[in-house]
Amino acid sequence: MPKRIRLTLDGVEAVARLNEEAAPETVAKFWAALPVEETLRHVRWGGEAGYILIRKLADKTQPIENRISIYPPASIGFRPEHGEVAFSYGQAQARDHVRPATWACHLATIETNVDAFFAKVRATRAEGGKPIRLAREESR
Amino acid sequence: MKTVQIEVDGVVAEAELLEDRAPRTTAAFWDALPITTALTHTIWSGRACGFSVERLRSVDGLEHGVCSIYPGALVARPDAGEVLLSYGAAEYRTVLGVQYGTRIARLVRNQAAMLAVLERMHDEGDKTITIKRAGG
Repeated sequence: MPKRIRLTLDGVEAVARLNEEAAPETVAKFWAALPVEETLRHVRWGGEAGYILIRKLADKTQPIENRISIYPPASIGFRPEHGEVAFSYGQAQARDHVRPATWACHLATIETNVDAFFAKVRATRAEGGKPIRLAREESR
Repeated sequence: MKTVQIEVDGVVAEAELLEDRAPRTTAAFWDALPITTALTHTIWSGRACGFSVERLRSVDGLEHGVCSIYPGALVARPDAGEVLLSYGAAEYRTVLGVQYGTRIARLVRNQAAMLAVLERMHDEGDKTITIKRAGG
């Protein structure tokens, strides 16, 4: 059975399926780090997405599995060099102040309550950071 | 030298217009003042916040084009009717990549306090900006 995580963003819940077959090492490290509680903020370089930093997952030597640069809508991207987890609600790409385009791992895809969850992500641009919790779905 | 007063979230700073480098764009900006409008954090250009100035759309082309937006610099994109004000590492970018903009002004008084307010917008969200003529 695929691994799934439950996301709770400012009271709105959604479930995402982890891309374990395509990104086994990344998913294993991410799974081991859960649960995570952080503040989700809007990205400043990459377009229509919110992000959190999981600093204990930051690893500049970790290969990027299941590579993407443009984030598909409803995707969760992961950049190991920063421990950055990005939640894309529209046109978005892995970028930063040095690189106008780079790579990220397509870590997961949100399957439930997509519209309500990403409305909350979008709102962080105008309203500022919001609390988010990521937990293993099996733990509920 | 024309100067403008900029107020965000109770912090007031002053900027001088770079008329010699960008005479057409700064003239259109000056004519648009005073303005009070929404100030929003950029999502493509890094550590910068932007606001709309529709009157800039009357300016044809760029002057004194730059890509990097240094802290305290105001850079306009006339075809978008937009001005960005940077508080850190920033570059004029859109969904399509790096773009040029016209540098129209730079903060010359109370810069540190203004940049601190802009940086807080990453956590706090949108604010309102008011710009009016100060001197010149």
